[in-house]
Amino acid sequence: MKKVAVLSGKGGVGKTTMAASLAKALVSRGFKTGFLDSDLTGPNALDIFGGGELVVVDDCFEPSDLAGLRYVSIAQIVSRDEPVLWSGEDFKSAAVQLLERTRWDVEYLVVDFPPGTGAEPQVLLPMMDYAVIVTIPSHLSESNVRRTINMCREHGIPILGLVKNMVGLSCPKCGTLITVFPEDHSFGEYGIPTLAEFPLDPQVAKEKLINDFPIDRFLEAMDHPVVLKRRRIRRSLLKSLRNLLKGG
Amino acid sequence: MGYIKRILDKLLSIQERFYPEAKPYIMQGEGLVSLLRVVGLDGETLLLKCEGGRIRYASGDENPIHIFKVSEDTFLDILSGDESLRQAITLNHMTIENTRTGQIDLVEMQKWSRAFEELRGLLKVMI
Repeated sequence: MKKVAVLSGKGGVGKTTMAASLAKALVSRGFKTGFLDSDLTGPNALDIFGGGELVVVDDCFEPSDLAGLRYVSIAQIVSRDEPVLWSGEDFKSAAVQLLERTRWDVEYLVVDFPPGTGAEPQVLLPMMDYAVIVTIPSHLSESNVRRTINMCREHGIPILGLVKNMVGLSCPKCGTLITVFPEDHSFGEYGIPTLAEFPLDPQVAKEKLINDFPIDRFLEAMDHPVVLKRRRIRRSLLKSLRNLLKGG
Repeated sequence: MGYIKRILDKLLSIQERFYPEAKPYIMQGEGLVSLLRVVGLDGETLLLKCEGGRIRYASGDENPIHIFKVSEDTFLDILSGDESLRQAITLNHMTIENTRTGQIDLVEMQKWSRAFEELRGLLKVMI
């Protein structure tokens, strides 16, 4: 199972929409795909997928199924309209349990991360295989995205690319692209490719999903030499660490 | 805690009446011991265990797999229906700890929240 983190240091940039769109695109390509909403304090993937029942079978969660997409959200466990008032340690533990105590049975698992670099991202990110970073061309997003990029680098997680959201506003009448945010951060110093750019689109707001998510570019990025090299280094490091812990 | 004990005594004495309907849920943990620790305002605690298909008072020397911890206020709110088990868990009014890991147990939370919701539905029909 290839685990793909969709994250951004900033809230409200469209992480969940992008993660859900990516997951649906993978399903439409015939891949067995799962979706984990790991935003424990603000889960809203259910608003996109609907509130399926999370069943327990043999002390494991059986994901809900939506047209082939297997998904799990903390919102299926906690009370929907109450704040989750757990400790940081409880959040960490819950995030790991959602990942590890679910019978995923998928080829790809898309994990929708919460904003920031707090408890859940800290504990979940090292368990991921790839990262996709969502950003918007706002200076308020820039420094947060840098922190997220550096957090991925710290853990040796290959970043497949950036998804730039809200890149202008597509006029619903004439289709002209209106600039909303004046900045355009490419984060070129990190050598991260841009996978896709999406303007603000009332149709996406209505459908809650992007129907033409560039899945080919996403899949190609997994085979990029830099990504493959990072994966090899990471696997090698993890193997060494395991041997060390075994006393080998 | 005296009045909580009196309420519990009465509940335990009438559990036979509800046993046929509650059996599928109670038997989920057959062979396992879980403890419910009700903590009073004065710090006094009452221990209950679910064992052998019945709820009984526990002595404290059991080796439970899970420990449910709840204040007497929340315990009464759950019994009266003012607060659902799911709400109590979400708001950290009730904790479910796996004694092996020393951490919260999400699977157990989901199982018990679902069981309580279904039992409440049953009781509404019966009463």
